[in-house]
Amino acid sequence: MIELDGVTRRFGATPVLHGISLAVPEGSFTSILGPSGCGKSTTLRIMAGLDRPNEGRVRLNGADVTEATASERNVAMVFQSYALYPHLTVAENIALPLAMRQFSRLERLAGVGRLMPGAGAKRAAISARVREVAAMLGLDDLLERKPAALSGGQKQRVAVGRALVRDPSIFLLDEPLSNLDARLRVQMRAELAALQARTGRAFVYVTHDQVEAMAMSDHVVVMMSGRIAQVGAPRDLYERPATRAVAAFIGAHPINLLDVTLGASGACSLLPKLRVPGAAGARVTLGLRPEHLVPAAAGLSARLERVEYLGAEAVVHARLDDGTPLRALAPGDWAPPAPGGALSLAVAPERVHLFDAETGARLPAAAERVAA
Amino acid sequence: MRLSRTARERATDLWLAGPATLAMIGLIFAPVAIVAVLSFTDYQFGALTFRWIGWENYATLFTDPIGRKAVTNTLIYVAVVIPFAMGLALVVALGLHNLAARFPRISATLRAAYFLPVAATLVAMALAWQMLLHPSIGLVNQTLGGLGLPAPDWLSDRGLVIYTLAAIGIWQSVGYNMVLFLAGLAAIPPDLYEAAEVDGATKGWERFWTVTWPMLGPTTLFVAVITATQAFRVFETVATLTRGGPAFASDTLVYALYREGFEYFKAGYASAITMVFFVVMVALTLAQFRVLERRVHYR
Repeated sequence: MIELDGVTRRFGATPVLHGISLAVPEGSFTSILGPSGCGKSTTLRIMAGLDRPNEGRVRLNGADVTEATASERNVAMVFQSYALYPHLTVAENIALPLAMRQFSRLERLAGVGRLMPGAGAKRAAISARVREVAAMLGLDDLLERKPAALSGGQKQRVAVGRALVRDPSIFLLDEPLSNLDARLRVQMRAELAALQARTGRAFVYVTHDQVEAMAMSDHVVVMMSGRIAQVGAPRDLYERPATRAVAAFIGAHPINLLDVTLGASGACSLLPKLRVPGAAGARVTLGLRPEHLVPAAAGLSARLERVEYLGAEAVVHARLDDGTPLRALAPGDWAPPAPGGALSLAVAPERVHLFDAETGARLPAAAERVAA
Repeated sequence: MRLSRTARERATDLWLAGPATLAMIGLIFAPVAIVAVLSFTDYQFGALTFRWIGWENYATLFTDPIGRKAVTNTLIYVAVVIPFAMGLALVVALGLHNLAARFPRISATLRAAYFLPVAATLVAMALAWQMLLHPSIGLVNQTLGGLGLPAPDWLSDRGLVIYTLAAIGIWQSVGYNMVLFLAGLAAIPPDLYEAAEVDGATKGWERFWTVTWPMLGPTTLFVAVITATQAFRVFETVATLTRGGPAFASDTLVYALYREGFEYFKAGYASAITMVFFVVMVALTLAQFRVLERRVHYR
């Protein structure tokens, strides 16, 4: 397992990471999720040994590796750009990490290598291992091609193969799917998750796409502006977001955030069933996920603006009576009123997220769902 | 009268490509053809008649001691200049490229200094070299003498002069090649170096052979062609410093062509030299592109 302990990284005077502490358990599929510029790639590069922290330690299986290079740490990395060597064939690209480690410079020279005692056996072992990895990734027919002759998905597989060919202590993946088209991305998502299960090694997967993180990982680290906002299973992030920002980031449909002032008894004028004891007169933010807000006979009264019909479901854009815009999700067969018409949107009180309007922190669960 | 659509498009094509094509034919292809024809005659400038003498001019160039001297001198010059002008430029470019990450100011200043010989007029620079290399009062020999080393006659020693000129040629082209290599180095994606590091290429030279050298392939090809053509047409330094001497020890193809054509007015013989030079240039360029292009663009 890899651990970061109080890692701070500054580029010049600009701090990028503010004392990150984080542990990736052995055998887990951990995603580092965050908007661009939040420091997730820097975190990964520090794990890889391609970058050094200004402060803090990096530990790999208990050993301090803060000053160790990438190859000393024995990590494998898949780059967003794939970073394949354009002058080598697919087979040579995959074999390179093994050749670099097992051959001396003299043995690596084509021609001379064949004459060296013992090099032939090593060469055969490497080529067998390359074929094994290629078969696993469906690259058998492409081994003699150069990267320029491959499609994006094939390059992606070669990059994964190069990481897979040796037995690294940890796999680091930096947005590996972001250059693929949508259909291929879904396919590779499943393949990567299956690969992780097969190798049993820890994968650290950096992405800005919350769908990828939710779909593939058993552990998600959400980063916001150089700090860890929340760590947890995908279900935790969705059901109990720690801050308003995490709630806004997680979820296929963007959450509705409404700033309200609670009444004297901690009641909310908008949602009569919701009462927050001990918070009388406080400013809070209500988080309502569109998928929990459905057209019903009674509930929040609003006016319909427009409907995006998606087949199985429809995204309803409405405005509350005070003009606040609201997104809701209706079943595909829902018959909407005419635009501008009135409708009611119902939400179950236990589905409402409550955040402090000032700090954005989640308000304790005990205080929030007291049905009237 | 309205032209049909295809006729109008053809007219546009002709209008766009025609003038340049005519200029090329008039200014390049026709003169080359005339020179090729002249090379088989004994024509002299101003003469009223000429005789067809077949391959005699070519035979003279390759059998006459003076003609052969020009050919071998040019080959020696090229053989010395190409590897050193490229190797030194690559070393300097790598150094400046790495220096730029830590000391951008110093790197930029040095880059300008290395580029200076390219921007300066070679004839003026040749005069500076002449003073530096003066056998008794030149700075080079003064320094060597001060160190107790022998002081050779750089420009009048028959065995040495062509190498002295080659050194000046190297000095002159390192800066240009360095700029080309620097551009090539800047275009290498940093991801590749990081991938190489993760893959176990930890030492500098391992990264060089795994990433830098292969990725510089197209640049190296281009630099090789440029340097070779530059070296083959060496003229200014010969004309200003040695005039081909002493005793034709620094005579080169283009200088011989100038001397035969414009001093002795032997237009036929000068044309034959021109044709040899032209064929060498074309062959060199074609060979380099044919052989190397497949290997440097990685298809």
